[in-house]
Amino acid sequence: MNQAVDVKKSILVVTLVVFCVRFMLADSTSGLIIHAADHQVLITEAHPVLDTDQEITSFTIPLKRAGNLMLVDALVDGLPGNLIFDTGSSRIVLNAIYFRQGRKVNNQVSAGVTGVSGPISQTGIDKILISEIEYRKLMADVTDLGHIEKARNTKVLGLFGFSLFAEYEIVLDLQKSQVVLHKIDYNGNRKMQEATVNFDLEIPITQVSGIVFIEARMANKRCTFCIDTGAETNVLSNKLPTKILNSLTVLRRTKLRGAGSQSTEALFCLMNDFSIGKHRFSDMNALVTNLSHMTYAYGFFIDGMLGNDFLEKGVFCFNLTKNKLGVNFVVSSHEE
Amino acid sequence: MKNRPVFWIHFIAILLMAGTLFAQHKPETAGRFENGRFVLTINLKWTEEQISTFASLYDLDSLLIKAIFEGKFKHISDCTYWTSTLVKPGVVELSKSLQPPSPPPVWYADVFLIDDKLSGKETRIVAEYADYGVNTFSKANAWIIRDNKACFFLPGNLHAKAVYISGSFNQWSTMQHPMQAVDSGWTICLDLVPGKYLYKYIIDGKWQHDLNNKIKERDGHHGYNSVVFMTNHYFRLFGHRLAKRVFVTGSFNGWKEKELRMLQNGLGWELPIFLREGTHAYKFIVDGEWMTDPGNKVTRSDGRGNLNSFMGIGDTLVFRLKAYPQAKKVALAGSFNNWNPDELIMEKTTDGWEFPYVLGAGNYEYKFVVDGKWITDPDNPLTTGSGDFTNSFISFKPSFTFRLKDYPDAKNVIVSGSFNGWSHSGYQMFKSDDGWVLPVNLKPGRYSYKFVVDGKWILDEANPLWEENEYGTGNSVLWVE
Repeated sequence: MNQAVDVKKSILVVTLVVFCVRFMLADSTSGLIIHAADHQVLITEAHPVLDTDQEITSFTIPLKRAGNLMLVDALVDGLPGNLIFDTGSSRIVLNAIYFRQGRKVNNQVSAGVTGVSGPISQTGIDKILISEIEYRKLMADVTDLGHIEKARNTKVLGLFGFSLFAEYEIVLDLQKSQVVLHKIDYNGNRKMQEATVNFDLEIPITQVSGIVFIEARMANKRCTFCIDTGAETNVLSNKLPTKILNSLTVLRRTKLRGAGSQSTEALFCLMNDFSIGKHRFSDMNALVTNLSHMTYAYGFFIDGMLGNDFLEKGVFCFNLTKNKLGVNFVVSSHEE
Repeated sequence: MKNRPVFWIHFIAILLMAGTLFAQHKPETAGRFENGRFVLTINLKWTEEQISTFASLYDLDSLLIKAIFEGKFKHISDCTYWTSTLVKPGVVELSKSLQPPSPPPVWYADVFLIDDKLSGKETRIVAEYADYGVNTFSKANAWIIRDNKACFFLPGNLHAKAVYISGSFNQWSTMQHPMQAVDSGWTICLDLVPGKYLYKYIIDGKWQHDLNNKIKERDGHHGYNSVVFMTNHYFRLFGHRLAKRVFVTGSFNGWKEKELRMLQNGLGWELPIFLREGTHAYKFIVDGEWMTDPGNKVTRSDGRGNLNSFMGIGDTLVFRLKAYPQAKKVALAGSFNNWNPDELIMEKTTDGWEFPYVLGAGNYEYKFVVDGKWITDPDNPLTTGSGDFTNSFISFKPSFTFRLKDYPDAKNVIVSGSFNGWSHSGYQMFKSDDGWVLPVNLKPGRYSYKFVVDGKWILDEANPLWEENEYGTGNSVLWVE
């Protein structure tokens, strides 16, 4: 009899534990389907150093636009230049042209590793100043970003993603070319409560390694996208289900140029059937290309990136503590 | 009766098929995805223009296209990833798998750049080059020139914590030029060389174009850039105080009559203007009457009985040829006058020939034409090109000097890079005390380059900035600001 009670108790405990774990998992993934792969990128924690005398609860960072890229003025270890705000990157990446240890003399590399693309090395940075936020002691990848400089004729020191802004609510407004950062508390609430913000669309987000993922529907199928401010247009995987690919109109074939001399084929398409929640997004373009390396880097399979074409549609408010994204649309985007 | 639905189904199916086929008969709608393949439908009856559009839209090899239209499409699948099928007479489908062997994947930390032509949107900031320009401010103190500096004034915004000015003069830096708070607004004075500039204010982090400046251009991102011209010349006409309207017109604005209206002052009329460096012809129009500038003695006929006033902006370069005193006719021809050998006839001096010419800053190639024979400048060691295509080279007002130390025994040192199209003959450097030098005029921007010492391409050892190139040998990188 006692044994039976014990068995019942342990079943109950196990059930509870399983339930709790599932609940926690469900909460942390916000219901997204994520297929885990065997690789994950970790980001060094970056905490801003702010002048404590000033009770700054929110401030605005002007974004400079080069093509559709978003640049911010920065000082990296005393060197002034532009950093690309690239939320598709979980790490800080610095341009090897300015941050390499060795220099090349007479076609011989005197230090460092050769290679046309890919991460060359890592380096430590003492100080980065972005607008009014100062960061100290960070780790960064170093690679050659010369192709971006050439394409946009702009000095690019490197790129950074959401990880540097994790302690803020991030309001990205491309119409005004600005990012507004609101300091938030542990619960994700703005320290300075302004009038309640209402959004046209509010959806859960998932974060993996400082990258934000959302769920959308294309051709009536669920897809996982990352928010990528470093993508001048939306990007879709060429391994998407046939039904989704068939729903696209191919406009052009082109080449994507990457670091070094690498280039890859991409098909420029019109996204005919894309929606998030009840909102259908019209008039968006996308490049269809091979994203298998992205999948490897992010740790799971993604269907694409939502870039400039998507972010131009409204004002996007990211709360990485509450795991929520609020959108206020500014251009015509009708509800179904 | 029973057959009716079947008939309609067939009818609709035929309509749909016809629709699809017709829709795909244009180059613009030729592409689609089908079962994991990228498919292009080609109508063999397309015109040359349509074929060219098709090739450009889908970035196709001209040999591939040629083969298809020559009916050799059966061979295509043998040598490339493309497969071709004749779906019906006159219609070929070209397709390729999206799966491997498909293109190399994109690297994770890369950004995705696209061409402007791809997005169909104008995303580039408008060029800052202008031949001429005048300012129009709605408030007289919003922009003035004081002590040769351009002083910007932003009225109001007294509660702002910080205001910056950002523009093409500081590479749109958002941190470089904070404005000073004064009692009624914010101000800053900047050293600007004459020219056209785009700018905006940043008020507590928020972009704002200058509301008191009536000249603005779309910034390509839902907003405007204000436009200001750092002026370098005053057109002045004394008297005519009873005139109602006075305009200035000239070669710089295509002789547009009612574009540049002059402003009345106590002594007459004036207009501060930016004019690009060079020689300009002009006239005033006083209440519809054309007249030359009474304050300027330099007038020339346009060959059709009209007399125009002439003025030069910039510095004069005197080309001299100290030889051929016996020649009958010596002319100057170069990249500055489209190599016209009959236009710039040189004047005879005691020991040769000379020609003064007003030029803007830049790099120029030239030759002398002595009685019809083209020769390089014997007194100028700088050349470009080789053999019969050697020209004399001059950099007027150079903005940068390439320096290569050592190599005293080298015979031929040139610099080649993105500024001269990586030309193999490059720009010839000349020997200096401790190496080789070449002053050049480079516009602000990014350049990659290499030195070529007796045929061997080397990096600039003195420059720590370099980037990888497709040969794995690296190129030196230079920013001119």
